[in-house]
Amino acid sequence: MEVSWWCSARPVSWSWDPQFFPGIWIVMLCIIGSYIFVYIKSSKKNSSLDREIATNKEKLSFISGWLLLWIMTDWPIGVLGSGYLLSAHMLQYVIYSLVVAPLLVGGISKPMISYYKDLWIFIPIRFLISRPFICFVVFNIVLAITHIPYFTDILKPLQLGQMLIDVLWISAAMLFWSAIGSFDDQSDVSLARAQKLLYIIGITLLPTIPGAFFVFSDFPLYTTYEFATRVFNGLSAREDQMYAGLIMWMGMTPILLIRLAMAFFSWSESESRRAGTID
Amino acid sequence: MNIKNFAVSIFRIAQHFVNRFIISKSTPITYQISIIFSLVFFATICIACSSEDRMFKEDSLEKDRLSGIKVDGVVQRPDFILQDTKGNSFDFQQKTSGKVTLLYFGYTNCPDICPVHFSNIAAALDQSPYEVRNGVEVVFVSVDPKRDSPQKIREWLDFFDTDFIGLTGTYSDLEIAQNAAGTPAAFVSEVYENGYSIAHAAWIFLYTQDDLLYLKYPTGTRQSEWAHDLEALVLQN
Repeated sequence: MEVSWWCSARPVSWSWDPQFFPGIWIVMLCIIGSYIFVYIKSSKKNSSLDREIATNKEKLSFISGWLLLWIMTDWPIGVLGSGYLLSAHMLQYVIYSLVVAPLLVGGISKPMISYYKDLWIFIPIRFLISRPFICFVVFNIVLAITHIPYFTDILKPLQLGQMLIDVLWISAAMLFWSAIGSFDDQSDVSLARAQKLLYIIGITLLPTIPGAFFVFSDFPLYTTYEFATRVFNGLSAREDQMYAGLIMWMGMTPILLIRLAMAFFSWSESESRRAGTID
Repeated sequence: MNIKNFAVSIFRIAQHFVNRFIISKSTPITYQISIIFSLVFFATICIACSSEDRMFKEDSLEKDRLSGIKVDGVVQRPDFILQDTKGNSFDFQQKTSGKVTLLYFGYTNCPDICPVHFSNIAAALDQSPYEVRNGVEVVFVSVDPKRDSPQKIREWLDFFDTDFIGLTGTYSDLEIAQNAAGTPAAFVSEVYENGYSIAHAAWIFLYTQDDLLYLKYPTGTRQSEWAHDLEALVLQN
């Protein structure tokens, strides 16, 4: 049984024997522990409130995001992504950014944060969230830096390096999705909806640039994955890189389509409600 | 001043800087779009520059930029006879003479170095022009005759390239071959519950058309380096 703090690229051949990462478990327990702590504390402070601190939908959203985060970070996907398959690394990125982060953000209700938002540590976060464009830039800078081969090849073999990549990805994505959520506070609903969609289209389109490098490059870009032992016979480092590029291209599309469908139905619902009121 | 006050002061300065010089809630959309384009341009340049010439095949092939390590002195193409994967005897010197030849001693149960070397050479040749693919012989000599039957060697090599040549022989024949190539003989290094590993040279020897050992390649040679070197050596003769 192998035990390490966090997943990292190691010069050993791939094995399906389970590996244990106490660092990942501790971080995951801290995340769910903090959520429960804040929920209980807010419930006590809000005992006079007639509604619950978080709805069942919000709780379900947070728990499913948290579970998915754990699945994507721990063995086997985390290990594959950290040192064996670039396609697994890319799958992690897409799921973290476009599924886990919005689920986690959607699980944190307004009453839960109302008592903590004035804490000094949250002041910079509130400042950033109120400026979606800065969050959008941060999100894309993180995307660019964590995919530059020079940095990736340095960070991947280090446990703390891989942990830094994971933390940067999830933090930047949560910041972005929180900022997107802040549009809901605007009085002009249509404008808010249009701005949200524009930003979502933006984060869907920009990753196609590194995706193109992966698909059209003649040779593997990352030494980490080029010299990793093969996980599946017949899947070369070059083919793996091509699949990673395709995940970056195609993986974003369903998310965008779901978001567009949601926006459309919500708009259509509000329109028909308005028509009903007029009638 | 405690840490909290210090952090808040730093944040206030940063907030002022961002609002004043970078972006505020009232920043015009044209400015925002220009920042997006700058960001995309910056990301593209960063990725392209950091991958240097590894992304696409180079236009210029220079013999003085070869990645292999040059061998001092004059070392002839080795003379040894082993058995190929069809069971026929294979005279290495005679059969490969006049061609760029890569010679490697390894074993098919090798967990890391051997498969990575062969996977990278196969991928590099796959990207090379026909003249290069046709002008290079890749010879794998198994130093583990106990487990590596000719058939097993063939199956293993076929994962990478069906044109790669596989050789094996008795322990004494293999020792003669390794001595002829100037590499120490492989030996069993560790015995496990259900197998053993073999310590063997990780170098790949490259012989040129003049039948001399020209370069040695260590573990860690990249696909782009293989592609460049083989093309330069075959096409520039």
